[in-house]
Amino acid sequence: MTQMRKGLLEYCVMALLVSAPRYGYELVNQLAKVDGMLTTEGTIYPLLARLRRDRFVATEWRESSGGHPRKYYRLTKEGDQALASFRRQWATLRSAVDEILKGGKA
Amino acid sequence: MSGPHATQIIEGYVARLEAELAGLPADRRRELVQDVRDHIGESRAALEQESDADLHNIVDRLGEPAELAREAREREEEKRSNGQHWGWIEVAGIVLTILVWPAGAILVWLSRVWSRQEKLIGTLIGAVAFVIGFPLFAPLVGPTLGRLVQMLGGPTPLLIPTLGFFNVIGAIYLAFRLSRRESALSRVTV
Repeated sequence: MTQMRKGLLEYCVMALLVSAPRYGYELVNQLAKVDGMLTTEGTIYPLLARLRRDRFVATEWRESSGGHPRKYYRLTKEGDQALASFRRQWATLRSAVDEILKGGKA
Repeated sequence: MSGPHATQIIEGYVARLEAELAGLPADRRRELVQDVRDHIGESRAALEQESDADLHNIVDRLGEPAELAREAREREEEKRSNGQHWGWIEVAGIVLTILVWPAGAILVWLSRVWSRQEKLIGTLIGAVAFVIGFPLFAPLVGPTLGRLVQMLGGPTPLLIPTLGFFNVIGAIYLAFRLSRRESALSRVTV
């Protein structure tokens, strides 16, 4: 279960970056709003570093209003493609699992 | 206002994290520690009034340093996959594995999409063909060495199909591993 959540978390992070680049703390807060998605906040940082090495996201430092720089993550073209491919597979998988779970209940 | 023991709480946490991260490459370690420090900074800035309890909550939510370190190691070891699986280097690597084995193997090693284990297996399968086929090249190597090799193995017409067979197997293996990677969901499974 932990492994599955870990894998899904990458795509959730990428999905959050579709609308706009975000900084790490902001991403953590977005994910924390969804129950069960992020058990420990710190684990998001190794994930982001990993996504950057895979070139699914890119980083850029920007000055904040508070006067300190923030590392912003934005989705790359490769990340966008990976996310699109995930969306298709997820839709198929989800309906397949739902179908089986419903059958099991009856 | 800082919590009375702010420095102790934060530096204590960061020190434990740094200790747990030993063994990771230095730049990964530095990056993660910096990310965590930035996170703590942002969390503190969001507080109206800071108490020691707040700071304990911030580091508790970040997670145990050991857990963070485990996550960092696992993410580090995950198979490389950057979405572009079939670049020219991969196609050329596979084709040349069949046609010009050593050149194909070099390209395969230059590619970033196969894991080290896959590269090793692919190369070894190809190497079998090369070693078996070596007596075929003996006449080209030189009269003395050539004769020695011919004595040991000796070229037979059978070797030619064998040579091609192993290289094709190696190429199929590499192509198969790559096509498995196509599934984005493969990263979700255990």
